[in-house]
Amino acid sequence: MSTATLDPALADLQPPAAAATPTSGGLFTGRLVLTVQTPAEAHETKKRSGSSDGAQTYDTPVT
Amino acid sequence: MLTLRLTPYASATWSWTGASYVTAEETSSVTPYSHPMVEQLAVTDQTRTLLIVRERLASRASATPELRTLTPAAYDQAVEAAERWPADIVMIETESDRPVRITAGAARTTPLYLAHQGGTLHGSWDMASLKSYATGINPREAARLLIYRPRYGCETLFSGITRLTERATAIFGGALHLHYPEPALHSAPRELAPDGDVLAALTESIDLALDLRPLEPAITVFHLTGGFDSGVIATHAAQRWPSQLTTAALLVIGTGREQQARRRTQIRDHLPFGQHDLLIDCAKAAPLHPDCPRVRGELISPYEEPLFLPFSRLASLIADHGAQTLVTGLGGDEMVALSPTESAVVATANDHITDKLPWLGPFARSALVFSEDGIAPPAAVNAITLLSLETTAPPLLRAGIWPIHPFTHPGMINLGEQLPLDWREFKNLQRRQLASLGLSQDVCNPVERESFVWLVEHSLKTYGIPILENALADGSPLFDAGLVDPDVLKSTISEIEHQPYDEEFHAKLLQVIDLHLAATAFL
Repeated sequence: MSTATLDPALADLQPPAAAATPTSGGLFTGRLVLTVQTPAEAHETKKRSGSSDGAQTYDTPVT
Repeated sequence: MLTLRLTPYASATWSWTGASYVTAEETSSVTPYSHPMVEQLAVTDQTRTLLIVRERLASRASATPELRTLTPAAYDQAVEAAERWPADIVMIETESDRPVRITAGAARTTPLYLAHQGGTLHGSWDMASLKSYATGINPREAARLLIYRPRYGCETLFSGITRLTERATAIFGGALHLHYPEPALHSAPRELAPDGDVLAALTESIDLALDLRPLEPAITVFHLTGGFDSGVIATHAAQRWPSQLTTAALLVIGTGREQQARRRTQIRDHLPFGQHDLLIDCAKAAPLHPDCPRVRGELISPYEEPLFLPFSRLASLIADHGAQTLVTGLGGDEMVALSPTESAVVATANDHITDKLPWLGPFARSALVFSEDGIAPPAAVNAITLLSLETTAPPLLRAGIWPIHPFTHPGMINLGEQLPLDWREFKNLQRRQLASLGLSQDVCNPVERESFVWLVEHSLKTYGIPILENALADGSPLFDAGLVDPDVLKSTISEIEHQPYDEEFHAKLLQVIDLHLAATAFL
């Protein structure tokens, strides 16, 4: 992978610099731990299926 | 965001026609969806060509679509740069005597389905375009859908039609291979700093999400359903663009209807929204009504809105208003969801999603053993959210509306994942944000449930049962494939009038209907 800066004439190919996010600014303490989600964590709905539609409703999720 | 027809091993010399990229003798073409929020560009090193269709970003002029010639080194840089685009993007790479490659970005605002025949790869955001390539029903995917345990992946209901999932690459040259990416990593909850201002972080994250794309308030409508998610986004946007924003919603039926209307009025009166409020009353636009295009046998993907009629009417209303963009609250639930390890209730929440549904046919039951096979790895955006984006996009695109989903922005996802439990449970993040705006207890802590559950019940009993009765009389591809047991289905619907309606059981008949209608239309 090349890390050289693109020719300015191709500036529209370059994505913008990543903006600082609130989570990078000291909102939290402790280590940032990154994990691989299980299929249930990654794929399952957190709502009861009362409304039975794939699109989101405003049923309160299960808590 | 595009349609494509790619023929590897034919011409790989591209040109821009003003509406499409085409090769010599038009053996291949790529046609971007025409919309101010979408742009296209192309580069070549005269051996390899990269075509890009992507969402535009704010504060940047539209890219010029004509092909540009680069050195091979600069071409490599262009590919690497495109892979880091922070919004929806599809990259198509072609080279003579080589397979074609198509890579999707992580955002997946719009779906891309693929199919191939006779050495040509076809693709579209609208599955209807690929009808002729559907060869049958994929039993594993049908089983997942029938038991309401979807899995995001390249498989669709139809054999012969593939979904290009987030960050995946489709490679086609003779055969079609789809290459999943590495799993996106996710954060664990953390402790807040003593002076950590969560609500400030939330509004800052919303601003980052809203500012990513060239959103124009005058031609953008905001969902304001009464729910917390669209409410948080729309109220913050109203503060940013006072007196400019039009809102839109479906009005529910049932116990929560009056409360929904009252709460929406309070929100609109309390915040500086624009004067227009676009509403579709679901009492007059019930799903499965004979007027529904899906019921009429039109080619509507099984992944599109289950409540197709009211949502498509709302899309038309938004378009008639002159809007070009719709901002939603999709992804808000996933932002603050508890994990199964945090809540025993969550761990057992999907127990009602059972493979014991009596109408499941024998082939569906046996296919369920393999339901976790071949699914996509964890994505940056939760799979359920990605599937929700997929239900939403096609009806909107048909109406000329481009969707924007601020809760899918990485900043929002990262914030939500790291929040301590008490900010996520009961959607306290959203409730506290609305309360901070001075909204009432009625708005922030509604008593009644606002949901489509009563609409689904009404639609099933009024229109759905007759559809199933017709299927039992005339046949269904689902019966033929052993995916639904017609005898048990018949006894279930004959009992439904004499039993109390069980929303967690009977409501799942909606999926039987939607899959039946889709299979009948496509096969």
